Amino acid sequence: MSDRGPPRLGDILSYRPYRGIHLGPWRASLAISRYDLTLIFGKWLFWGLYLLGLLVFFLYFFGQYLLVWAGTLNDGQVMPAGPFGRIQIKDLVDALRGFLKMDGSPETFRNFLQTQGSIVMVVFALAGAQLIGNDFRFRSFPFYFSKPIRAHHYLFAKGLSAAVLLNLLTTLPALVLFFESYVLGDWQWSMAKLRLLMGIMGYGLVLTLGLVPIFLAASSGLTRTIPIAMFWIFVFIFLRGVGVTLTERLRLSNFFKLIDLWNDLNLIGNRMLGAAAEASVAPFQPPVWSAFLTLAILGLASLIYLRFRLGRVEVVR
Amino acid sequence: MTAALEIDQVSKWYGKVLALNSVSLELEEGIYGLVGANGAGKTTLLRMAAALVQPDEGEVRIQGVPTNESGARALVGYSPETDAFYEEMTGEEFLRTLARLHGYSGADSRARTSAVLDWVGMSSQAKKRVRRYSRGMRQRIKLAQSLLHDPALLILDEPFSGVDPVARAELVEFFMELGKSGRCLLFSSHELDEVERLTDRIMVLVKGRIAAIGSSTEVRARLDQQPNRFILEWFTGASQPTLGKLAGEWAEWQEVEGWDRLEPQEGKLGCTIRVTRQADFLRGIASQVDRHGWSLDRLENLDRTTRALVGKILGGTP
Repeated sequence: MSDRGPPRLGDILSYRPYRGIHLGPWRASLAISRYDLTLIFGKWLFWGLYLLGLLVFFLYFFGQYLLVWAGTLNDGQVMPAGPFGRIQIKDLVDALRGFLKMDGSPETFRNFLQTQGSIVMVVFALAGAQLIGNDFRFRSFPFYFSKPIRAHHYLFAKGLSAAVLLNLLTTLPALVLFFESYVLGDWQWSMAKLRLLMGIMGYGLVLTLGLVPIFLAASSGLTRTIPIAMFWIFVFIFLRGVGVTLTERLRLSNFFKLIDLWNDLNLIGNRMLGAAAEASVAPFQPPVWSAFLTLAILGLASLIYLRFRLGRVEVVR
Repeated sequence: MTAALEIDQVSKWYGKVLALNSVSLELEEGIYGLVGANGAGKTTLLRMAAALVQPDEGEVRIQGVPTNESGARALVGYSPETDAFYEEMTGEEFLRTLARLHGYSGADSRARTSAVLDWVGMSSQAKKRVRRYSRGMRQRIKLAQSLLHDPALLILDEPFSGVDPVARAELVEFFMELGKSGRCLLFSSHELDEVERLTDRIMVLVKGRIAAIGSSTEVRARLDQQPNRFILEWFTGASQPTLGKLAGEWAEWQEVEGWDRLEPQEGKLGCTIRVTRQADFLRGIASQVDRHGWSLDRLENLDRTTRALVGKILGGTP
């Protein structure tokens, strides 16, 4: 165009039909996902929450480092501890290993992933409208579905975006912690370490498969941030309280705790990690299979609902 | 030669509402205008032609490919009426994302985005966020995304909606060029006048049925056979004919179905009059002006606009 002066409307002669190779619709899903994430990453609020997640990560990161460093000192030695005065090395090691579990054991990762999970909840509550709700609210679908992609490609893209957000806050930093403990440790591979590595990734997978379909279904149905956040609070805080009250206070059947979805996810995740449940709640836990079944049913129901929601998109209002 | 778009006995229900009723069309290259009131079924028909909505009965084919086959969407470009963009993206990012949905590689997406931005005259605005675009710019971006894959069939839903007259004229020019380039362009509008400026191939959709199809002259002729309301106003004065005298003459005219007196204004009389065969009626009025020295101040067809036309003549909701 440049050699013929500035372009103007109607100037279509320079346009050439495409003769290259069309990548498939699954690659198109990646484009949707990439731009979803660009939008989320463009929000200061996301980075604020991510920073919060990083603080937890650094707590564990330096906790593990401190434990290894303290292990090299004499047990009876005393060291200055800022505002806490002076602390005995033995007490520090006991606190890190026994109470805080920052020793690279499965319990380390259980605690870390559970803590990060609450940040994921907040991110999901706030990102739902941006990721998928607005598409339903503002009826953006003609732009997507007039292209050669189908509803399942769209859903895959949205699921991928949510999965990336979730794993950026959970699995990825957990893996960094794992490799830190490996580097700070004896540099020896063992079946236990391999199992732990697989367990961390398994936990991430459980969180992804358990949360993402529910997140997408809730966000597509409620569409706006406030209702999505309310729903999230209801499911992950209110129902959690009800579950604890019914089982731990009223001593009803442990199966009532299945309404606490976060507990269900952790139960399965702990099994993956090979970590024990916290002693205070262990007697009140339902069997792992029931938690798995609950999440599988909810996940399936969410996918069916999503399909139904997308199926209604063609309705011209 | 395969038609660009074939719609064969297509019907569509939304619950108990029949949105399209046995519609059949066959479009070759060139520009086609679809006129109809809100709720007439225009958007349903266009989305069906864009392979977005599947018919409950009948079949839609784009260049011979049924719209329920996966390849159909690659053959059609669709510009929706809705303005649901990612507001925080720039126009360029928006187009590049949609180009990727067509399966283009990163480099090809950039090249095609740049080409269509040039096409629609939005290159200088490409780095601005969509939320800062005017209605006219949004229409152009929507148009650009429908052209990304250079389709042979272009479906444009209300492309002039909210566009200022200058931008409208530019779009008309652009559509004319597209129409001449071997593509088939089907667009919808509320306004028959607007459609007439672009094309001589017009379809009028009413309550899910094609009520009229043909050139603008044929459509107008069809409308001419229907009753139209005219308003007449004239100055009073000793030399001016009275309403009674005029009405006495109108009673002899076959094309006049009836009339209603308007409240007299200062120095003016007026009435509305229902007529068929407008041309005969207008000739008669001209003769009355001549004969009586009638100083007619206003003569206007109240049903000329498409809105009124569809509402009154064809039974839709204006």
